[in-house]
Amino acid sequence: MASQENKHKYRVEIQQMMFVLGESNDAPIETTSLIEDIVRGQVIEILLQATKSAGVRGTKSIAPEDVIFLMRHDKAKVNRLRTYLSWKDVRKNAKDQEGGGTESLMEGDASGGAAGAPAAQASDSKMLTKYKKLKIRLPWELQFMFSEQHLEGAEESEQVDDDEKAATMASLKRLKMADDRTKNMTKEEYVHWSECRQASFTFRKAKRFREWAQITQLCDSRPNDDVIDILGFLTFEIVCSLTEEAMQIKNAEEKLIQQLIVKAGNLNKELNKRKRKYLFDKPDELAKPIMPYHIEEAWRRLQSTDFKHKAARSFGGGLVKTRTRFI
Amino acid sequence: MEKLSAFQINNKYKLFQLAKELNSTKFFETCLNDNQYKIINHLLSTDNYELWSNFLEGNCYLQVNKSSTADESSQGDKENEEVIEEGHKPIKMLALHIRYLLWEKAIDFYYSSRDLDQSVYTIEEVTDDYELIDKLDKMPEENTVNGETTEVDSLSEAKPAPVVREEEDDYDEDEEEEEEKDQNNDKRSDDHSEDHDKDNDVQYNDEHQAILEVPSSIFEERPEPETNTELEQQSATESRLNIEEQENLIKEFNKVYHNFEYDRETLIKRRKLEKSDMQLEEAGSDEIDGIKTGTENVTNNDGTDNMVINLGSASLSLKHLLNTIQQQRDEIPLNDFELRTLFMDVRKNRGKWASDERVGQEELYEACEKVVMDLRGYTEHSTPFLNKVSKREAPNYGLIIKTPMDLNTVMKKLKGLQYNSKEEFVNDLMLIWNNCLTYNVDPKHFLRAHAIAMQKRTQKLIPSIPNITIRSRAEVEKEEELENEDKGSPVGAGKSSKKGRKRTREDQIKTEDETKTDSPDPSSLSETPATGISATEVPPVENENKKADAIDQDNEEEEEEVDADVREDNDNDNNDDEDEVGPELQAWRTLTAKSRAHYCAQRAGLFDENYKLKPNAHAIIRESNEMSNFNHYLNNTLVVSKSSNLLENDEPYLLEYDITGGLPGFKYSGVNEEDEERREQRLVDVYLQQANGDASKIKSPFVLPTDSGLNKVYLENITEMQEIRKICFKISLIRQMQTQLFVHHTQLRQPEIDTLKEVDVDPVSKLSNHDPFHKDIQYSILRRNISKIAMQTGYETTEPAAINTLTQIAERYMENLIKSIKLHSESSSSNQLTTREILLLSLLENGIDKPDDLYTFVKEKVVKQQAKLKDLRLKLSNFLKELLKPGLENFNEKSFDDNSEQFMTGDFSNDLGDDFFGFKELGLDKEFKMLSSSIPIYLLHSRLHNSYSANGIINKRNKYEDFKEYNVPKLYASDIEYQIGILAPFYSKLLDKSKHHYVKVQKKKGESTALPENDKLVLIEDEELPQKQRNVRPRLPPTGKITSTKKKIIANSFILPDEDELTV
Repeated sequence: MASQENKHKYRVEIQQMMFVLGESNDAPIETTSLIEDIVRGQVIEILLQATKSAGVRGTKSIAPEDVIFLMRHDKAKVNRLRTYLSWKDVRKNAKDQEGGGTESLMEGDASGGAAGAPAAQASDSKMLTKYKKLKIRLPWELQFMFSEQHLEGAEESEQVDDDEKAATMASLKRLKMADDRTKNMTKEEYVHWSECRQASFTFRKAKRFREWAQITQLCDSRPNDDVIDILGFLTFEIVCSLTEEAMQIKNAEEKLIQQLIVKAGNLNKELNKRKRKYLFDKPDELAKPIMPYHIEEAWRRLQSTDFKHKAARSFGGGLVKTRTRFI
Repeated sequence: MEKLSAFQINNKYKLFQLAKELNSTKFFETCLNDNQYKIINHLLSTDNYELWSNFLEGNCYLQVNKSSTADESSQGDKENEEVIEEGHKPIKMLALHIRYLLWEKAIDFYYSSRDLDQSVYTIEEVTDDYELIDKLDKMPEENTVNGETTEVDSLSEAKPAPVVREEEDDYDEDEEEEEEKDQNNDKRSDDHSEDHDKDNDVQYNDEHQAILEVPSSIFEERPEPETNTELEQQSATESRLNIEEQENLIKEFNKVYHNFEYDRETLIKRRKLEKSDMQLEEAGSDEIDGIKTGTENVTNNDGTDNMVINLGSASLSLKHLLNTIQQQRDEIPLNDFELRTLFMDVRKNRGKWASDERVGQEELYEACEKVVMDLRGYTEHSTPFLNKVSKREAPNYGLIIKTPMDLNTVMKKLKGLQYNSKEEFVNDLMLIWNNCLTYNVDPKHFLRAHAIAMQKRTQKLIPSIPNITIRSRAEVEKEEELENEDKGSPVGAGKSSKKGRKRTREDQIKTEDETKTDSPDPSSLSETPATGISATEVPPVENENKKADAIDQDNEEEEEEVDADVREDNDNDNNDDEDEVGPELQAWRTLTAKSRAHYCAQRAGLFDENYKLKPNAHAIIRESNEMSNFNHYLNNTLVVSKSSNLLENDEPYLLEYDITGGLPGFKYSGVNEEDEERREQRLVDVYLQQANGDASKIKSPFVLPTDSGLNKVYLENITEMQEIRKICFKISLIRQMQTQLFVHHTQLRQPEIDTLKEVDVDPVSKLSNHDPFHKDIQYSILRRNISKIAMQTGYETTEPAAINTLTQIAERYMENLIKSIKLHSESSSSNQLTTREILLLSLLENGIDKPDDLYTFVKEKVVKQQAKLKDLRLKLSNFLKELLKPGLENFNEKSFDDNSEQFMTGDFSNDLGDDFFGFKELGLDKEFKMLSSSIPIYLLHSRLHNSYSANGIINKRNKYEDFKEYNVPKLYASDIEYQIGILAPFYSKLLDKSKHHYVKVQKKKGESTALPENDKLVLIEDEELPQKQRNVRPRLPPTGKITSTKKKIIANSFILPDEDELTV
């Protein structure tokens, strides 16, 4: 029993993340446990594959590039990650040079939670952009195809890539959604919400995370902090996509039930009419939380192999074996 | 199809009318055998409706009325009796057959009218039927006028006779007109007018079967025509009729129902025939050779008096020419001799029977040979007569038959030129059949039927043989001379009539007359009246004589029959059947016997004795003409190959026997390498001519245009990459120069990078006889394109194996794509997709969610990459420029100091060639006003190296040049009191330390340890302190977190369980 309790360590974080994403109810413990298991499975998978690709490179320790390499096809995610990393770099530099101001620290956390939101930080952005934003270069980019690299000019690094633009667009969309959600919130609610935004699997819990994901058992050498941070970011993303998918499923389900009720309701309309409302009656329909089966369905949907991944095997017969997909 | 209701409701009256119509067009004559035809003719001419309906119901009894015939000899009757069986059964068969024929007409009509509706071309034969049935359709109206007879008709069987008779009478007048067409018919109907009347009262026998009385006279031979000319004409028309008949029969072949059960038998018979053919040839060849040489010698001897050349043997092709020449003889300036020699030259292939010595031989023998071949080919019946009867088969044969004869002997005799006239030949043939009839006396013996059939056949064929008696040339010439001497009159033109015609103009009149007869045989041209008559008259006479003999020998025959049993096995059954089958089927059997046997033999060749396919058997090769046959068959214009074809090949096309099933056939001659080579050589010549000797000028469609499309972008990208690589090489070279003291000249060698060219397929594959869709070609094209993609993706070089693998993957992917398209488009699902949907679905299933993906791929991966590459190249070349600059700056005499010995030796041999670094391109030449773009490499090297090493220091300095050296002012002991109060204790402490330190240092130096004044005493800095006394400065890690010293993780250590626990 004790081990069972120990197993799930991120209940609160997951609940907070879900809350940020619009799930207003507190998810039951079964749901969070399930999500946590899924997240852990994903993390383990990522670590395993990253170790493998690191091994191909000839090193034992996982570099951030190895993890990003696994995500390389999801361009939007890669770009979000990039932005996140560059901001993280800014934060680090700022801390190194200034001894770390609390304000920037706070901002960095926020961006850590919501994937670097430059628009949201109007007040601090000036201060932060003063520091040279390190451009994360990935080794499979075009310029590394050649044996020599040119020195980067100052003006060059400020050029905004198209990819980055796309990422900005995506993150703006997310911010818009968050904005919509928070529009009708009271001050207290908003405070709570923004606290929840900071929820992370790794932030200030690196050790717990390592233990939870059994990194020591999986990796030969300790992955550096960057990798942990990236994993933290990715875990948030995983919870995000799972929750969003599950919410869609839940909505669809509710719609279906509604339709069925309407259909059945035609039969006993009178019965419904007779039912009067009183002041202290319970609200008509309690919004139901996301249940584990929603998560299971979401997981199934996210794991379904699309044609792209089995096209090469078509007409070949046999079972198409695939690895767990990263979500 | 209400018009066909007559057939539907089985309206016998209408059918009767139809039958009459058909009879008047001689339809039945072609479809039935002689006797059956005669019966039907009689039946229809009696015009007795009730009899007809009974007949059609099969409720009829055939009775040959002998009493009515008195004028014919009894022997003739007997012969007929053998063929015509009286009784119920045969007439039933006949009725069935007639029904079949009539209904078949209906079917023809049905289909043709459907064709007409669709206004497709019409077939003549069928349109006749169409008219017929159309006419039939009008009849009911007449019927209704006459009373309510139609219903009565259909029920006529049950009705009493008188009623029916009445109706009959009503129509008598109309029908008689129709009947009148055939003269012979008419005559016959006149002959039996009494029967006519009698037959109107239908007689029933005790089994309630209507008795069909047929006067035997109708079976008799037609009266022999008296005059010679008549006979000639008749024979001519007859033979023509035969051919037409045959054609008609052939046309009906598709309507013949038959099965394969006789094929084996046919095959066996055919084999026997072939074997005997072989024997004959072997035996005959020697003889003939001898004879031929003999005759040739004779002709050579005659060479001097070649005045008279018989052109009678000229082939038919010359006939018209001869006629024309004859008509315009006056206008030809040649004399007869010249003309004759001319003809001798022209005439290419004289027949094998041609002989100058024996006049008329060619015509006679050609005709005879044809007859013999025909008879031999009549395998249905001819098999027993092919060879001599052996002693083993019939030991006592020699006793009974004094002059044995068989078809092969006849053939041998023919080849040995032993016949001098038609008469002799015919006699021999008839002898065969008569021998048989004589030997096998039992009227039910199976061989008799064969013999009779053969006899009939022979009689049919005999008229086609011209009446020629061969005479020696000398004789003929003498005769001619005599005639010429007389007065050159045309009357006695004799056998060599053609020659005579040519000679004398008066002849023209006569020959023209002759040609007007238009007989198909050349025989009609030559006539010897006396012999002609005798020859044609012979067969029947002899025939009868032999018949008489046969009867005499009846008794003996029975005893011999036992011996013949051996051969009887199948044949007996066959004979029984033969009486029942119609003439169509019989004709079918005869005509197709050869081809059937041929087909079967071919097929049999494929199997071994265990009925297993032989693996090494030769394949059955399809003949190209069979395709046209098949087309004919499909179009139904001609059911079987046309008669001409038939006569030439003697092999009608049989769809059902055609193993290849009438598939488009072609005769594959196999690969003849020489031919192929020659053809290819010719193509190469043409090709080179087009290309003006340069094969690479003509591009195959596999070469993609380099000036447009995606290919252009790809190529540009690749060249861009190559350029960038070049720049990279230069940069790395400069870096080496900067860091290393010596650069070996091998390091300076620029890697060769070829510009990409569109490689075409090899010139040979471009030839039109090479399939561009051949797998190898397609594969290499795909591989070429894939390597292009690989290059564009960034690979400089690839292993061939890798590219091959990639190509195979691409191949497979494409295959899958096509397969899924095919699968969707051929789906039998009721939910049919449009082509657009199919395409989209197939793309989706193969990993392309939407066509837009392809567009974005091109936009993102290819076009964008191009922009990036260009950008990168610009940046790199700028970088290179920057790197090169210090090497070119201040290029003056001083530079000699740097690398003197090179200038002294003048060793510029390692020059890198013109503008290796591309100064011009980079614009550096203008910047530094260089005279020549080539620079001694060592000079450049030393300058770069020097500048770099110099720069290195400067660079290091430059790094911190913003920060000015700041000298912290030293603190003196006197300054302490001016410091911040909080720090006072620290400084006072420090002062003590400084004092202590100062004393120590002074002691070491050996100087006075007296402390200087306060304002002179310098407070000590941390750095100056000994290591131990320094303060520990806390350091922040990069994370900004102050971490305590690391503990060892307990998880990493392995703890053994307590031993106590183990023991417990």
